[in-house]
Amino acid sequence: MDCRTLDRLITRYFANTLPDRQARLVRQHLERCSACRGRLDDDQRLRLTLQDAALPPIAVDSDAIVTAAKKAGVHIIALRADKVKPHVFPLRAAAAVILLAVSGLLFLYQTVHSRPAYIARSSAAREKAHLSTMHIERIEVTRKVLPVYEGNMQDCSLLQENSF
Amino acid sequence: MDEAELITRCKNRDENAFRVLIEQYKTNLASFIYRIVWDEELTQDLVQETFIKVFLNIHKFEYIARLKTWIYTIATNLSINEWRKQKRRKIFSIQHILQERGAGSFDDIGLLSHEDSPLQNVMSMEKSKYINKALQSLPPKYRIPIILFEIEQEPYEAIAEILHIPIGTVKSRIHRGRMLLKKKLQPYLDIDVQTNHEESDKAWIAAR
Repeated sequence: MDCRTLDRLITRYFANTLPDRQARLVRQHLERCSACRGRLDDDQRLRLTLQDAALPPIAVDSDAIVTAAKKAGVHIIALRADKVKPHVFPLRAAAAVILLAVSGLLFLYQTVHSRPAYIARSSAAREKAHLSTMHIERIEVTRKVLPVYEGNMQDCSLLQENSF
Repeated sequence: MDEAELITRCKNRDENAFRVLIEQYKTNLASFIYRIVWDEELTQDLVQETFIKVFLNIHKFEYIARLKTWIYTIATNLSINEWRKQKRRKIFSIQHILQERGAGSFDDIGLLSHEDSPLQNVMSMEKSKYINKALQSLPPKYRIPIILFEIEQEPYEAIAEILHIPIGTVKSRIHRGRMLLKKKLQPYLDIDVQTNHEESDKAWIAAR
């Protein structure tokens, strides 16, 4: 292997992506070529020097970015729980039981109040119903009697006329 | 949360996933952008703008590319545009001038080790300034590939994708950038040469 080939392969060698045979050839070349070894050492030193150079701290506020993104029209769905938390389950179960009990009571209440009138009526309701029945009967009697009465009245007037 | 799940949840507009994504990338992204524009406030704005663009276009992201490559492509385009605008305007804020002079940028926020002596801290600060200045002096066409390759440790293929240039061009720019940097940083690199060469030789002997 020559120095140019090493240059071509060296990045893949350090990334461990070279086939075994080529990796062995790179190692052999580096062992005997001090120029390439020196150059790689220099590159490594430069890399570490650049990585070690400190920068002034730059504060990046995640909340500010999310707020700005929402303002810029990014549709973001608000925080949601990934899983049902352990203490939430008993609460949900209790809520379900209460809901069932209330529904049962409502059903019973409705059943009782929708029974036939003669079973469920209170005394006041019964009295009211009785009175209204009496009223209807009275009207019917009036309807039957009135024509008779009117007829009688006419008869009476005829009698009076004849008597003169 | 792995990358595929993170992307899926971001596509579903999950706020938690957005926050995870920001936390995962914000520090490195800020350093990367700062090394292009060399302005703290502008860097903060560009980081924010990059994430907004990511969120706005996440539905277009396809799994053929790495998420990091895609985010860095957006950040690079925004940063280069901004750098060009700055260059045209030729306006330098007081902050910028202070930064160039290195006034109070690195101290008291934990970048310098309190375990080291004051002299070591000062030397470390001076060294960082010198290195950053050398990097800053490189033209962006060499600087950005160098940052991506040497600092962000991105492979050639990813850099080619980010910068929309052929891999051969990436390699030649990195090579040229290294040469320029080695020339500028020779004093610092020479200091390390003596110790590192010894260590390196020992390592090679041990490897045999």
